[in-house]
Amino acid sequence: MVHLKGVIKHFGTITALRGIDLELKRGSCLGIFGPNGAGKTTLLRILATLVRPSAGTVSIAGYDVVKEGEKVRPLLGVLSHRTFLYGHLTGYENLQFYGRMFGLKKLAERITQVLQAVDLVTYAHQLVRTYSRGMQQRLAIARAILHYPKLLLLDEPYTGLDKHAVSRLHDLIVHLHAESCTVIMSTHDLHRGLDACDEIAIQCRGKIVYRGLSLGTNVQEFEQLYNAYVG
Amino acid sequence: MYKNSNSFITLMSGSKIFLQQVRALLAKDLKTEWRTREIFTSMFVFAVLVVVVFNFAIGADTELIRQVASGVIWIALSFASVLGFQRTGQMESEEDSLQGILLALHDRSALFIAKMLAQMLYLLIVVLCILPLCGVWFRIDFMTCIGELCATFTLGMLGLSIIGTFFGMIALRTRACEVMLPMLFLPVSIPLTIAAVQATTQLIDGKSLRDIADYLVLIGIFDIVFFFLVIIVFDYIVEE
Repeated sequence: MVHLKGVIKHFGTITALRGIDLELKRGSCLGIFGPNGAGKTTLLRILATLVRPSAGTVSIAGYDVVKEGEKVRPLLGVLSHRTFLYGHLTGYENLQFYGRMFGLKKLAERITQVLQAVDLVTYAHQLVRTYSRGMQQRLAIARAILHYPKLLLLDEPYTGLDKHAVSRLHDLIVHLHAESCTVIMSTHDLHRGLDACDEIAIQCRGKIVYRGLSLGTNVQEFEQLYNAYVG
Repeated sequence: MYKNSNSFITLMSGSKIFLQQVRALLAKDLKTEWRTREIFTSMFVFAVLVVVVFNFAIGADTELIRQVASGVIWIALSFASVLGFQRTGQMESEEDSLQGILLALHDRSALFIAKMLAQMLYLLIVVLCILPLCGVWFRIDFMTCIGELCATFTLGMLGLSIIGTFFGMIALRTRACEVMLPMLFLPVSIPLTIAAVQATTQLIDGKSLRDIADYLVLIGIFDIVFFFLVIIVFDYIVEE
């Protein structure tokens, strides 16, 4: 599903990624852990076609993200620190806008489905600027899964979420994972990351320094491993 | 044959998605503007203020007013449009929604077309509002050449919208957005503004559409050249 080979990214004189190689099968859930400045967000932004790699190749579902971005984008659901929502539109209108952008059929039905999934049906017709931060993040989750993405890219998804939203997001990841949706998540939350993902990777100074399975790894062991690699 | 029909189907389905996305973006922008009225209000108030200030500065010399009226109108529109382009950019940078749009776009030039059309619409509404006011203050009867003026303003507004949307997107990526946009936009719009001012002045003086044809052709060429130039480079502009 995801294939990266020798991916390098420079921002002027700064090198954010120093040769990333990564293969991910369909239906996998990979958690990428690493300190600030490790290049996790840059990696996710390259996968999301928002940033071009300086060198190397990246393909998703067989499509090159640089040359065939228009074929890759409908396959992606992206959840970032920012919600990508419009405060002067209602929750329903925001989802309607993104649904129309993706050319979704039976849009009203799908919007109701995703609003139910994030528990926001009651607030659907309120302006987003009147939502609390947690509600906005839940609506952002609905936006990310609205168009049935095949690959979900989650950049620090638990940041700014209240307890209720964290548990909703966790349930959604488990549900999407069960439906063969591939998930790549960058997070600082070792406990939740280990819990949600079946594969783990540690990224440090622009390189993936560790890759393994999360099954059978407890948080203490992983914390020791993380500290050994990251320092 | 198979390959040709296949690429034709791809092209047709691509253009259908393109139009659908332009429509969705335009509807979103207009709906937001209808609720907030931020862009139109700031553009209109600023344009009116410019015209009022010039009106006082020029004084009561009727002949001088007739000579400079079109220049004042176009300067007011150019400056007011900068405010509009800035506000449109800010709207997309709140909560990083530009990234959300880029993630949904099939062809990124759909964003440019939608923004350009929205800007053109705002500018045309501002023109419709300030022309009667200018008619009263400058004692000029615009109704005698309203058809020709419509053609001139439509072509001119199209040009301003094309370069304004383009430079607005570039400025959005810079730290000093408010300074960068007028610095990029105003010098490039000079040929368009000169041609539009000349055409409008001649129409006020009672000349016909045939007399100003050269200026309209010049504005038309400006619009076409910049439109295709922006379409070619827009993908790189919106990328980081």
